[in-house]
Amino acid sequence: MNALSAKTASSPAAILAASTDEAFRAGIKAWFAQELPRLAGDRYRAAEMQRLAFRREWEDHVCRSGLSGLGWSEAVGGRPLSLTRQAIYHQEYARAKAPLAVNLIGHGIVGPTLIAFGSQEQKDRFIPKLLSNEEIWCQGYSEPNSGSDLASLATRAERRGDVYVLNGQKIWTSFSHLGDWCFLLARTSSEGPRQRGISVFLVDMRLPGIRVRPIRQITGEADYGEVFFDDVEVPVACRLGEENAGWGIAMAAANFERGTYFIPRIVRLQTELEDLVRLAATTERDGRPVIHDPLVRDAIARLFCDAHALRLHADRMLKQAEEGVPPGVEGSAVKLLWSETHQRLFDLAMDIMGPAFQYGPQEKLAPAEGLWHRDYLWTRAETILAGTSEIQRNIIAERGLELPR
Amino acid sequence: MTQGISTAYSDQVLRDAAARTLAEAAPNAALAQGADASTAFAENHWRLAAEMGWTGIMVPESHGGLGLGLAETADIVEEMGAQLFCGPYALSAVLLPGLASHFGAVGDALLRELAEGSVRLGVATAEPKSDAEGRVALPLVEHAAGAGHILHLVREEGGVSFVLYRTAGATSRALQPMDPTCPIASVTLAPDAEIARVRCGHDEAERLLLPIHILTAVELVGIARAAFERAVVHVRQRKQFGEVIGRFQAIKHRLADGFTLLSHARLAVSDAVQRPGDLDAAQIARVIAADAAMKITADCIQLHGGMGFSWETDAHFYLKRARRLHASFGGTAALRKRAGDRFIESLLTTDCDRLRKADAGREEVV
Repeated sequence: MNALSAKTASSPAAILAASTDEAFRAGIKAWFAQELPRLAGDRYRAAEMQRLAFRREWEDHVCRSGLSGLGWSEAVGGRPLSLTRQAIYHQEYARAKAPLAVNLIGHGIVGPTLIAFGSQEQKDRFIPKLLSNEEIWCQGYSEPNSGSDLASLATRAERRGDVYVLNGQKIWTSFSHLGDWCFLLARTSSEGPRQRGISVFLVDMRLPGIRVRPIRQITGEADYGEVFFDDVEVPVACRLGEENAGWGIAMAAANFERGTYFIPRIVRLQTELEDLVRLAATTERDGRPVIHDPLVRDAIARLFCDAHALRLHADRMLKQAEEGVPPGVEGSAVKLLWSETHQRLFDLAMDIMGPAFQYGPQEKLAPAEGLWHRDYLWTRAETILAGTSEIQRNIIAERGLELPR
Repeated sequence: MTQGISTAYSDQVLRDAAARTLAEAAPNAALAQGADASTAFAENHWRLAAEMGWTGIMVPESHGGLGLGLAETADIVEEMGAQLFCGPYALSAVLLPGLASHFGAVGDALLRELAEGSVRLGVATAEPKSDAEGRVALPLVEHAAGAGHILHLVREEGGVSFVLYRTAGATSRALQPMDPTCPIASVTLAPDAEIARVRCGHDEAERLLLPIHILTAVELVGIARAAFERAVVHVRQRKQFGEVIGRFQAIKHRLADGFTLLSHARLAVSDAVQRPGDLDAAQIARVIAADAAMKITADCIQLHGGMGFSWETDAHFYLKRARRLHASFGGTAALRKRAGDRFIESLLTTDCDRLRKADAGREEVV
């Protein structure tokens, strides 16, 4: 089949208005299948499409085609969409092997949090530029001495008339070098319990006194960094919610993605597992394909079983979210299973590589231009970010099993 | 405590009734005192199952049974795992109704007796030997005591044979079992003991055994759940270094892992119960449930410390029972291998097909 004989995909507006979920799925699938190769052109290769420039270009295209703000109300300019259809969207996005977005914090966390807690003025100011992807957000949570113990954060915001004066340092801030705005937690009081002295600020990253220093990651890339705040004057209008009410907002923000957060990741894991089988079938060792090695086959079978459990979890969490059941500690169990399974998958890929393991992640001669190598290293982050595995286990034991703190 | 962990597969009332009834008859204390399951318990438990109508749960109403499905049976079986029921329940109540139609008139009679509770199947798990007089000797039979019939699965070239023997005229010798809740014996059968034999291809055998794999998974979840709850209760009470040990992170993390495994197993098993014809769902459920039960029952002993290693603390019964089910009907590893092989082959076959089609397309163009 050639491109000319292919049917043209419907417009995003028509797809969103599909009368059935099946029609919605078919529509969005066709749209990705048409637009991704069209935009990528001769960059339509997994490794090329993972480059930051293309990720941004693709995300801008998706948003400006009218596929942002999915599930947000029309009042803020969003596109109301059932959770089931949001899940379908994310599934097909991952199946199309479309690259991860850049503005994940903006669309996944900042938008819903603004809609829930923001003033009208704040919504009017920020939501349209989120929908069009004109402003990229980063998240200022961790500090050098406040990682897992987030409530100990020490970056101070002192009120002086119409502004808060910000002093301190954030670290491991994803996309800090690209961020136009930062969703930031800072200490506004040192009295009482630590959690009650924290506020949320929406900080323009171009304000005087802000300095960003990218940090090179183990992948060799520098997608995150340190941010220094030196007497930065943030207008009072950029405080989100009440003063000292930031902890509750941060906790709510963490919950916004719960229903659909894992769906794209789990679908992606499934497609990666399929690619892994193909890698093992096309890699030879001692004159025969690695896929014939019984140890490799057993490791694949184990991953297949775990991927099955993950899919069932995703379905259940989505169903619960649709029924309005508040997320429990199951989210922590899924995070553990997902991150640890994902690490095992890429460990196995490196085993399959054999001597080709030695290529660095940016070496174009490596299989798939180094993508396996890059993602192998990247999976080490997944048991750390968004609550380390140790914190997830504490949450399960203390909240789920009610063991003493 | 463990969030929806006893949610019913079919009906919560049935589930709760099974839990209550079985808890009253639970053998833990007596077994821990050194009682022998092969005698009083097995008899009592089977009588109880018959009185409750559970033995005939999947027997058609036309044969005096309840004619219910796998989900209802699963509710009972999970509680049987949790409460250490001593008897060949799933095998008799589930596999026999599936096989009966293949056994003809013998099967019809067996179903009626099963519904009444008078049929109990022993299962031969090791290869038989024939002695000099041509009598069949079964070296290892589960639940032989009190069983009127013994079922033996023979894996052969191209398929499986299900062979049914009657025990009349047999001589049997009780052996020491690893799992005290599952008595074993060696049995030498009378010369005319074989009363039915059904040969099935692999696919048909796989289909007949699916409900057994699913219910084995269900029972493993019951065992894992009981061991897990026991461990959580213990670490909340036991004090060392002046603290409840449940406050220590090493303990918390072990239990968090148990919770995680148990939640995966529950989901996979519920899914398999709801889709009883799906090969992947059934086999993977059993793999995941066995992994969870093996880890959790071992951890339960570990978390009880020195007392966990004693016979009189009942933690070891769960480990031993989980270990037995992990190995039963060909074992969990073989199921994982089959599921994995299917996944790999389906993927590589589709790829080949796609390439072939692409090649064909090129030829047309040329």
